[in-house]
Amino acid sequence: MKGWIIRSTLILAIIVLAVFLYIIGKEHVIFVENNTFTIDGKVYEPYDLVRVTLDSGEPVELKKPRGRSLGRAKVSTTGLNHKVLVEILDDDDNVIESKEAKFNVKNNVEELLLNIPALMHDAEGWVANNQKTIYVENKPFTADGKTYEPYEFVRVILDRSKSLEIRKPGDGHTGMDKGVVTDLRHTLYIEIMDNEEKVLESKEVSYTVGHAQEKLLINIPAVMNDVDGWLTEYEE
Amino acid sequence: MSILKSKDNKIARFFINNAVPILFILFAVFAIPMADLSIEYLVAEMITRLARYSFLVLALLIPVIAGMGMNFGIVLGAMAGQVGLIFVMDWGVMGVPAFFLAIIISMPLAVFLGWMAGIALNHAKGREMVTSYILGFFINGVYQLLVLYSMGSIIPINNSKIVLPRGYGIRNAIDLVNLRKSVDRLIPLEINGIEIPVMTFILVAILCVFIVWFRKTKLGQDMRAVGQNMEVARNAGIPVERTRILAIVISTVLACIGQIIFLQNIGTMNTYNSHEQIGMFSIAALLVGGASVAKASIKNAFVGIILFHIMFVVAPRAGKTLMGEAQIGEYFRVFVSYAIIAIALALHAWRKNKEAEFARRSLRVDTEEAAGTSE
Amino acid sequence: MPDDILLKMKNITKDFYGNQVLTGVNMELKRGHILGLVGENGAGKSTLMNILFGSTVIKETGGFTGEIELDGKICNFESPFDALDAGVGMVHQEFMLIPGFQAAENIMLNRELTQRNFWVDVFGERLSSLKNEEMIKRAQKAIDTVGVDLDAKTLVSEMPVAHKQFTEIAREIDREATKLLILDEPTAVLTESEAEIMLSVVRRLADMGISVIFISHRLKEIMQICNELVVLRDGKLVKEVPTNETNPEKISEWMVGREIGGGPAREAPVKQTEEMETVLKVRNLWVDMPGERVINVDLDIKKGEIFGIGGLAGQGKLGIPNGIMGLYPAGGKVEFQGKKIKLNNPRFALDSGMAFVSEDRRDVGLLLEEPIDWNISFTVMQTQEKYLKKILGGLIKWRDDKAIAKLAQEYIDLLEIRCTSSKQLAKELSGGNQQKVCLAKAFAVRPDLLFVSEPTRGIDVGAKQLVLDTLHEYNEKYGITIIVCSSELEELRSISDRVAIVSEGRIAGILSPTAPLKEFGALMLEA
Repeated sequence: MKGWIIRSTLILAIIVLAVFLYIIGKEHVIFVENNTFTIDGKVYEPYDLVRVTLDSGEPVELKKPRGRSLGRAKVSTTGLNHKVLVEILDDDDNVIESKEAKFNVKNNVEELLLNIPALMHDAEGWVANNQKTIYVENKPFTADGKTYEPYEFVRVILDRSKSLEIRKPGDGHTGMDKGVVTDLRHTLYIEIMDNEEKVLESKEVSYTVGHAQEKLLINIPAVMNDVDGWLTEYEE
Repeated sequence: MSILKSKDNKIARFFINNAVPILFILFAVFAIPMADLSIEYLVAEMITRLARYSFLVLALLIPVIAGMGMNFGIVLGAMAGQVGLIFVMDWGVMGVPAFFLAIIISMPLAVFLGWMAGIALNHAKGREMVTSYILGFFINGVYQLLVLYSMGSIIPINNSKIVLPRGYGIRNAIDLVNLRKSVDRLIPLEINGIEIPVMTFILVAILCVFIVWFRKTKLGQDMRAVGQNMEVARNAGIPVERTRILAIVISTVLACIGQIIFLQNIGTMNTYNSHEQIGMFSIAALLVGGASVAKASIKNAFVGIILFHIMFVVAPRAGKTLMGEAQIGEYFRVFVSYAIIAIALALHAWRKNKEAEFARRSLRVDTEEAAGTSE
Repeated sequence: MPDDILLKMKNITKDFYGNQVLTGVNMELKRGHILGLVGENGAGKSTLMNILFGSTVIKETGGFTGEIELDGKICNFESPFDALDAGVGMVHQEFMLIPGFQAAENIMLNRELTQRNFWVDVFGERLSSLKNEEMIKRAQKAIDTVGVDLDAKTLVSEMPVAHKQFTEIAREIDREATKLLILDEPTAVLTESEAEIMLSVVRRLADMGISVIFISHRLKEIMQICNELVVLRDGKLVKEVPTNETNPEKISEWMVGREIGGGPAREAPVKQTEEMETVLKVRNLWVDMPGERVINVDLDIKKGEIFGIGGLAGQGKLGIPNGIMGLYPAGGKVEFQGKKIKLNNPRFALDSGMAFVSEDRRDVGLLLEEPIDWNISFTVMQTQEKYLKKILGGLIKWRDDKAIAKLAQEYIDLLEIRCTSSKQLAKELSGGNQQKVCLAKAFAVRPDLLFVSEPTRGIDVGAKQLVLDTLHEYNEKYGITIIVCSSELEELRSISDRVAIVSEGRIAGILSPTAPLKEFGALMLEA
């Protein structure tokens, strides 16, 4: 009896230890970004030169993005609680302004996007999940009193990598699927097919996601008919 | 001649018992100057290799105690360890937590594989070594099925860095970037520019203490008894089969940990090859250290790793100096590994015969003169 | 000493697949008494003790009938462990010791004194630590109780045989429950002085109140220490008497007396061998034949005699021919016709002019899948290259089938081998006829000396006489020296000119076949 208690306690302890190890050892990639941030019509501009120190790691310096440069740095971290120190530098590397902030990561989040201008202005969404869940629906769409009907069978490719196949709702089909994409700029490729998988029509569109947005909804009939409002925030 | 004078006998016995290590020391004495390597380099290499292989080689000791010979089945443990590493890499866990998490995940699998192997070996008493060798090949097939076809399809693996582009199956080489030397460098120490993997050595030390302690437990004592005479042990009420299974289970679990230590030191995992040669090289190292199929100690393990790997490091250079070709060294190490195992097995059989003859000698009553006719 | 009865065995009967080995054996043993158990090999001693000790062999072969009552309780041991729990200990003939262990470790084997630790709770009892010091102390106490001078820390592999024996006894003593100890030929492997100590140890144990069943071939020992004695013969209890009411002569009569006057009668006169020339000289021969170990044998065989070698099974008589002919590892000095014989080399022995008819007809003596003529000519062809046609100056050797058939027919007629033709397969013949083929095969070599081992084993009475007559005839006609080994004493007495009795791997004595049976019995049983 005593043995069993000790044994089950030990097994439990090992499981707890495993979970603990998973949590403290799990890698979270943080993209630090010195880039334009837009929210609710307000625009925060990037700084000329910033130095960012994440936890006790090596500081990274970011210049204002120019040309095709994204003004980004990738930092790998483990653990759930982090603090970040941002120092705005002038041309002679003197600190003009500095700010320290703390943030938490949810354990299942793989990548975070940390925007410096937003952080400096305490704007909501300065740190956000860089992985966006895109919900794609093949359902009737109504706009301006007009209804666009769903298609029999649609293949959707997100960012040229993740492929979804969606049928018309009914007959056990929900007319909906989802995929995870990373970062802010995305493409969407749609193929309308008949039941023999012969492509009848196809279309590619690009779209951008806001920093703070994590779940988005795309309506296929709306996209195909160029109706505004095909991209909305997803609500459960 | 069968009867040696007792003093000659002692010296001869010492040489017979230590023939392999002596051979290797001689080799080292000749080859080291020829290879023209600095002592610092050699020492650094030996420290790295001790850290890398000690755990695996020590994993072989317990089956030897239980009389089951060299356990080629440590390959099973190695495979279990690799499965653990694949999961940890997929989950994106990093550093020392990843190391311990990999151990926790792979341990149940190692226990299971060891238990199966133990049952199989119980059906092949007296032929454990060849059985465990073949068992390694068999489980390797199962492992490939699991890793090449099930992972990413049945078993969810999502990390594109380790899954083949086709969407299932694990890539041939996995960069253990998150894990590389994480344990070795947990407690940093450098002496004369030589990096000492302190934490790894602490783990090896813990294992040594465990083995010494284990030999003094009831189970350890039972294993020694079973190892020496199964029938007597059985008659004394020791559960022979179970004891033998436990020996293999312990060995497999230790090998699983050993493989994870080995791979964190190397930093790259060849999903389909890393485990394959582990059994042979570990066994060869232990035998070079003076162990036999029936007797092996912690000392044999360390001496063996050093001597065997001196050959590994020195042979290519010496080969180049001697023959103008480094390839000869690579050829040498594989050739020598097999040769050592073959010699050790033959020596074991020969020694057993000698002992039987020695025991028979007690039957001869003042037939000293007649002894000559018997050969 | 309490005078009550510890063990009662009632009407014990046991058969192995219809072969009756024990029939209605009744015996009792008092507390603190020593009971001697004697009988020839195969008389049922071991089976009786296996039943008492709960050996699994008994259960696997169908169990036994009868009743065992220990300490007033009826027992039915499922396994030796039950027997041990009930207080029955057994010291086996082959040592149940682990050679690489100390005496103490062996004494405490699987009964180790242990100390709990944390891991016991996690992984179970078997991870408890051993208390070595205490175990050594306790083992030493057990050894001291036995009353011998032996350090508990000595490795078994480094002990003399006697100490191994004592270690086993100490192990049984250390079990506090032990009330009855079975000693299976404890003195068989000991020297005389060691045996003396062993006997005093057994006596001490009895004085401590432990009952002992003492199995031995040495009647002297039985007479010396046993209170009672039981004689088994052919699975039946022949006699149960207090030792002081009997003597070794009577006992040996009870043991071997079964065939007195029942064997073949002696017809031919006994040759006087003293003046004859020695043809085979054996000195310090040892042979490592399992179950028939020869330790140290000296023999002088005279030219033209029939020399019988007798003795109980397992004493080594079969080891002598097998050793000289090189079939088992052997050592010592053997000279044949003044020439030294290389041992461990069957070919050399054959080439020297010796031949051997093995006791193992089916495995060694005959090629069962081959016809009679091949069997008869095989050895001659191999060793003397007879019956071969040489082609291309001997480069190719062809079998001369005609000559072979002729040879075979000759022996078939001579030995009256009952067969359809010389082409009949050996396995189709009866035991007696197979034996005749074996003899023919040996005769065909025209040996100067012939070893015949158990010539009449497993063949019927009529065939027996024929085989013996054949041997005798060949000896007379061709002057072949013949050495016959047999368990049948009467058979040896009927054809031999001298009979040697082997006991415990040594020649106990050489007698004339006309000597009284009692003398043979005494040699067989006394070391």
